[in-house]
Amino acid sequence: MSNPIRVSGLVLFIFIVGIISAAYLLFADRILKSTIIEIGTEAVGAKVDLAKGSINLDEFSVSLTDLAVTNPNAPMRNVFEAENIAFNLDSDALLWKKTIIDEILVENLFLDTSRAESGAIDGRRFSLDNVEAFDKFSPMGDLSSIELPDPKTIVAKSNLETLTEIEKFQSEVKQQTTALEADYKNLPTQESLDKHKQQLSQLKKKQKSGNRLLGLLSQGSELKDLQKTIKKDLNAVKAFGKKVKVVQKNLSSRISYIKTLPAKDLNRLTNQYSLSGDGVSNLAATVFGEQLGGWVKEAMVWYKRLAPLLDQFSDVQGNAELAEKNSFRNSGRDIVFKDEQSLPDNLIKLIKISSGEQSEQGVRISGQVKNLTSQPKKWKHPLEFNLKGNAQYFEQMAISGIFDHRHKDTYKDMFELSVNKLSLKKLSDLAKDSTFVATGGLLNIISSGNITEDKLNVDIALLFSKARFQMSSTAQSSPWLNKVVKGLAEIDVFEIKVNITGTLDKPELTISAPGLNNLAAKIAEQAVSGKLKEFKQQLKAEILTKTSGDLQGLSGSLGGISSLQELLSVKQLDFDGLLKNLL
Amino acid sequence: MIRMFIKLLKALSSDANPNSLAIAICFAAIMGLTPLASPHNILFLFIILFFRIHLSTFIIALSGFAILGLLLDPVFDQFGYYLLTDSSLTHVWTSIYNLSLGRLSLFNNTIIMGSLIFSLLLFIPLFFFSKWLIIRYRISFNKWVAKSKLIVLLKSSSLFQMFANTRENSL
Repeated sequence: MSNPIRVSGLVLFIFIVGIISAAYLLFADRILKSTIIEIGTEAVGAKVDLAKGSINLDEFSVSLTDLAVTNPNAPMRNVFEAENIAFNLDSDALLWKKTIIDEILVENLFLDTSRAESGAIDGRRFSLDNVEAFDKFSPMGDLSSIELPDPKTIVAKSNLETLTEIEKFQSEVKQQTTALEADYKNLPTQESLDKHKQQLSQLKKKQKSGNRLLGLLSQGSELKDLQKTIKKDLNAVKAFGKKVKVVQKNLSSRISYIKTLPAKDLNRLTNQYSLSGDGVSNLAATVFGEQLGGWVKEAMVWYKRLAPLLDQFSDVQGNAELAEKNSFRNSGRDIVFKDEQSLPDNLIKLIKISSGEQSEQGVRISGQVKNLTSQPKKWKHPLEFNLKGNAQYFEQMAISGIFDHRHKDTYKDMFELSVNKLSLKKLSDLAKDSTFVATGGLLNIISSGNITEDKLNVDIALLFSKARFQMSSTAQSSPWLNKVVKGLAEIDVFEIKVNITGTLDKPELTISAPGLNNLAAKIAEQAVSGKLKEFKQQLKAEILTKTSGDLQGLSGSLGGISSLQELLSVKQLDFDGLLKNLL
Repeated sequence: MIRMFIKLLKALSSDANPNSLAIAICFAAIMGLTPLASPHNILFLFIILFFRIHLSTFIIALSGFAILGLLLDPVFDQFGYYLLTDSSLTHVWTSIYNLSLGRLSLFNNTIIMGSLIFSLLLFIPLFFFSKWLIIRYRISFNKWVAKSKLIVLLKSSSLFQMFANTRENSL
């Protein structure tokens, strides 16, 4: 029987393992480089360039040279580029399939640098379209050419205060009339009057027929009683008459007030639809809204793109032991079990960024990022960042914040940002398809915000000083916007406040600049003054047509109360006459 | 490949122990059905090379099982998922997951787990079935195959002559 052991096989095994290891060592740098480029390009949605990647397996150290990541929304620019990136991997953690890095040194980091060639790739994964647009800030264009709305349509769809008040008035009149009529029924009736008359006539008869002295004595007390009763009835009629008069007076003054309402409706609708006054008082939103909205939208896209990377296992149940990682097709799924290790699967404890020499382009960045992990729930510290930067077109930028995703469903991200003396001209160059082009001036930005469970609350204050604008060459000529440009040139300092609320998917932007309201009102009035007169006349005619019928019927609606008043007058005369007859 | 095929035919026709050929098929099933780059395959490669297992049979069977493995990936994925998410086994898997070697073995991947358990379960039945097939082949088909046109053509080729003249090695 032959030997079951094959010594040559052992040699072959060692040879095969050796060849594979040698090949890996030989091509490790290339494998690293291609992996970073492939994964980076997939994650960013645009080309990632890397000049050199080297890995030292003795020390488990990695170094990358000239890494550049294209901005997917501006393929001729890089989001950032770094000259050198170096870090050591924790070899013990690698045995646990954990990538733990104590410190990454990033040298000469620049943001927003230009590229020699486009970094766009086909089939990019991300798009600005993922975030809903701020529709209400779409450019208004040439206001002088805007057609004022049809007065007939405005009146048809508006709730005129005149008509509302008339309706309320008529309902009240009906109610008051019914109440008065009910009270009228409680007054002494014609029967009471007739009874009093009969009593009086009987007393007079007695006076003529009986013992004169005794008759006078007994009749005197009866007459007094009758007189008292009639007086009482008369007073009740008089008091009710006064009440009716008060009601009638009040309702009449209401009618006078209602007759003034068409004029108020006219003013309100004129202001609302004629682009004067309140209609365009928010000049900041009208003029700067589109551009600001665009930048906020871009910031939102970046946050949405990066936030999931910070919380890869967001669907892990707090007490569940199993969770699935996302898988690629034909590679199966990795089931994650409860990890008794305190460390997350990947963690960079500290990224130290040092900036290089002042560059002609790009933003120099320095600072620190701490505790970067895709499993924040497994690490005791939240992600912190504190970065500073400067560039030729601004003096200093500082951003700091904490992204705390350690607790499920109660994550809270906070940040503070400030930019000093940002050149408006440079900002204009960066802006896409803007109506305005800044020719001079500076901008200071102060912003702070938090995102808690998808809800946004971000405040941005933009302080413009000596801002000078001109219409962009691509924008259509507009007398209205020209007036804005001229008007802004006369203002040395103005502030625009932006508040972002809502959710990440549906952010709501509120822009205000009270300092610009006077300018806005003035410009708007001039812009539409010619058409405004005609618009007002037509609107007035429409309002009157719609309300005149009801207005005319107002006085008639008091008919019931007037009739009551007439009946009361007759009744009062009757009782009055009877009382005089008695005396 | 032709050389391997000829070697396989020779082994089938020879007095070589059917157990040796059957076990080669079984190991080929493990390495072919599971993803080739899986860590456990280093161990099986060592076993195959270190012990006297018929390599030609192994390599030809490996090719067949590798194709079959690709086709069965969705089934292995489901089977592995079932095993890994079975609540009665969670404790076992969690213990393995918390071992360094366990973590490196990639056992928690559904395809690796599904295909490995499937091929291990298949190991013994496949061994006896392969052995039965080899014996049946030697009894019923050996002479018929030897006379077939393909084999005659192969035998007449210069490669076969050259190979026949060399001393049959242990591989």
